[in-house]
Amino acid sequence: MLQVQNLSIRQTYNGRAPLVQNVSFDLQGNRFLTLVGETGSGKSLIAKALAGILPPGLEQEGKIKFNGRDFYGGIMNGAAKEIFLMPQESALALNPSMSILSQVAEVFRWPLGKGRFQSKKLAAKTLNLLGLSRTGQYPHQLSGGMSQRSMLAMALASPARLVIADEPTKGLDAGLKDEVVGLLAALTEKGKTVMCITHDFSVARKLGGLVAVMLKGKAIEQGPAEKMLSSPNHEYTRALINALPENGLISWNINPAGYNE
Amino acid sequence: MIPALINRITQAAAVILVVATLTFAVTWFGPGDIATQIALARYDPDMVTPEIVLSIQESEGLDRSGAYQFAVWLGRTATLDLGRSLVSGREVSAVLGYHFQYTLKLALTAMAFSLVLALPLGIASGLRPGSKLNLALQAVSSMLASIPAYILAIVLILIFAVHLSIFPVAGFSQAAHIVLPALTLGLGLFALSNRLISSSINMVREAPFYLFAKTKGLPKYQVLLRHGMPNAAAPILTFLGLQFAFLLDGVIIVENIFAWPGIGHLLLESILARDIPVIQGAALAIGLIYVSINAAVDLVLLWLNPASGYQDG
Amino acid sequence: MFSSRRKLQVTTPPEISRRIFSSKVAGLLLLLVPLAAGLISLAPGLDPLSQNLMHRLSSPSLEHPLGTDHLGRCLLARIAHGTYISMGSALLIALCSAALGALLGMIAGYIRGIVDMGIGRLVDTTLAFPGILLALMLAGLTGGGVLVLAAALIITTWPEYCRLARSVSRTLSGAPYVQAGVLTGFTTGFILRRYLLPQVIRPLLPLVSLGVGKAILALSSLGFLGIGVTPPAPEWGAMISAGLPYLREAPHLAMFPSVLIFMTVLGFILLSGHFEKKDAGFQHASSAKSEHQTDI
Repeated sequence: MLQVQNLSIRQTYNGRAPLVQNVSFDLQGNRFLTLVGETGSGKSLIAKALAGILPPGLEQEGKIKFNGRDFYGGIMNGAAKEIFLMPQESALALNPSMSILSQVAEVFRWPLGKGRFQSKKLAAKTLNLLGLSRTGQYPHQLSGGMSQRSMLAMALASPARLVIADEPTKGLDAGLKDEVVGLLAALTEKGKTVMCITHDFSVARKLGGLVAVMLKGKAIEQGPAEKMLSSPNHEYTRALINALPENGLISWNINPAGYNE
Repeated sequence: MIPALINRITQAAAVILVVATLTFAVTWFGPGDIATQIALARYDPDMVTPEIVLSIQESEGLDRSGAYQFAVWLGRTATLDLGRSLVSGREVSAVLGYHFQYTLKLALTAMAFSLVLALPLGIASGLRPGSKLNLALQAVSSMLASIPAYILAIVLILIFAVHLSIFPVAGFSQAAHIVLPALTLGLGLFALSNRLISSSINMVREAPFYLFAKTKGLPKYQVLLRHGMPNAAAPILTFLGLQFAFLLDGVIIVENIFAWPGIGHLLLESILARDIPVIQGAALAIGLIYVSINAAVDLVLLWLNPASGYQDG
Repeated sequence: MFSSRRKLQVTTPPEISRRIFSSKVAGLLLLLVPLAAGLISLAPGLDPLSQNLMHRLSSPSLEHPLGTDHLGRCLLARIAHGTYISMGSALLIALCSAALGALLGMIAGYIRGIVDMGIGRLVDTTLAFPGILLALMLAGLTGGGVLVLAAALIITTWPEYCRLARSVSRTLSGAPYVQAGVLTGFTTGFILRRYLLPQVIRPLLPLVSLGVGKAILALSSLGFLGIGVTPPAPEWGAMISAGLPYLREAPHLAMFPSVLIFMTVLGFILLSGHFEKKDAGFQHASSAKSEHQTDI
């Protein structure tokens, strides 16, 4: 399981301004962790820190433990078998000159060490599972939902036990959102832990599991999803929940600047 | 894929037609009377009389209308009858063929030199922006690019032929003869390609899918091989057309300095001698090659990056 | 439990290479040389044509700071006057082809349709055709001078500018503010001039600077071969060619014009790097804004 203690992320040069401050969470038995927050709250940075791909100019401190082992270096240091990061813009993350079949097959071939033909077969199977039958297509021929699904295929294929999904429902309509959430749930049925980053509280609700609300770099509140939704503590959390369309049209100000952490 | 192919081929054909027409037009509308020029080339200048000029006009069909002449010329050219050189009397197509093989050898050797240098250095430099390698390479490339080919040739001659006496300057019979001219061309080409390779690798390196490929769990060299190179190759290949243009330009000068019997040498000589049929033939041949190389490059690009066929323009 | 501090990547300080190789200062410094040469040519008493066979091939002296050539002409005067021919015409060529290319490119990118296709075909035909080659052939077929060469170079270089102008105009014509202009009722000419042109010039500038350098190289190569400028005109390339036979006894004949060409071209290349850097910064800023906020 995932344990993060006092994770902080700072800028190396610019007066060492902190972007994320002392974030801790402990998943325990939960399969889902959702980080909710507005842009600028630091949620994507946490994902990148976990994966070990912080952009240059930033440094992190704090402890990360995954399944009891200290976790340093992340993906770049060979931990790709443990973590799979689904980046935000899935269309951009796909190699424009390779078919989705080959790209999914790569996941079988290298981290899993399977042979060339076998990888292709497995990849085709996985893609079909997700409803993508024309596996010879190239990224520019795919719709937003389809590229997201090829991403999920790779997540399914990957041996990684922690999948970090960065804004998986971005730009998708309601029906597709539900589909993606369902697919993320399917990932957990395969024994994986999913950390989802989103600004959409309804996704957090649907996923269940642990929810952490980020505001200006701090985790202001966290707890099980149902509890957060029924009795949120922090003002900001309340505002976020009330901003959901199904909760009526009363306008609450959810400008992060108006809240103290 | 097929419609793109047809498109390219028709384009190529159109270009060739345009080149042919232009070549003919320039000659026809150019100053000087063609019949007189032919007469002067064939006979002693003292012996040329108006009667001779007239007879040439008749025999060569130069008194007919422009359209007729063009049609005749076009017909002849299509059957590869390019006429005869005014200077040597040999058939233009034979002359072209003979000289072209030398230019080909030179061009290919120069390309080989430049690639051997530019590919590894360019890739390495592109993967390490801001490094000393990058710096040094940029410096060398900028400076090489500022030196005209003829000066570079002279410098190389001074170093290798005069002081070190390693490579010969003129001649074309032995393998050693090709080194200096190929090196001159190759270094100039290197200056161009190096920067391009470096920057396109760099661009790919910063692309989201490159990072993603790394995070997927692929070993580094596989990332470079499967994700880096094919996408970086596209701008590099487009550049091939430019390389070819550079070579053609450079060949003219280099061949003349080193007395290498290629097309460049032929061209200059025939221009100085006003040997019109040869000039026309050379122009046509070069236009043809240029068009085919561009078309080939386009097709390879399409194969490498299928997305490019869908972009308009 | 201990807290670890781990720097994953150290920020690279602003790339040193960019600093030097796209430095406006370095570029302008180098360009001062030909500019100075051009100004010197205005000095009275400096005659590039007057021969003095008594003093041929003399080394640099007080009277002739750069020495004299094989006909006793003052080398400084010749180089100085050559500036107009070599650099001046190169500038003209680059500016003309840029103007032509930009104009056609903007029209093609904005108006699109058949016009775009037509211009596109034209571009594809002449794109990357070797300039010197065309100049040589045209010169050979017409026996022409500098104008023919200039025409050939302009013909072979305008497509490059056209491509860029076209893609910029194409992207821009979809931008909301341009469409707002159309709705307001501005004429096409107005939109081209006020909306598109400023945006087109910016990325074109590095190309133009590079183009001047290339034109200088091309013209001097042709001059070296004896094409275009007729003697006794002081063209740098022709001077180098003339100085070759005397390389041993009077190396300065070939050296000084070579150095000048080198410095001038390098200056334009560096300047081009500077323009490119400014353009890259602009692109980065504008695209970062338009992207959905991804990072934080």
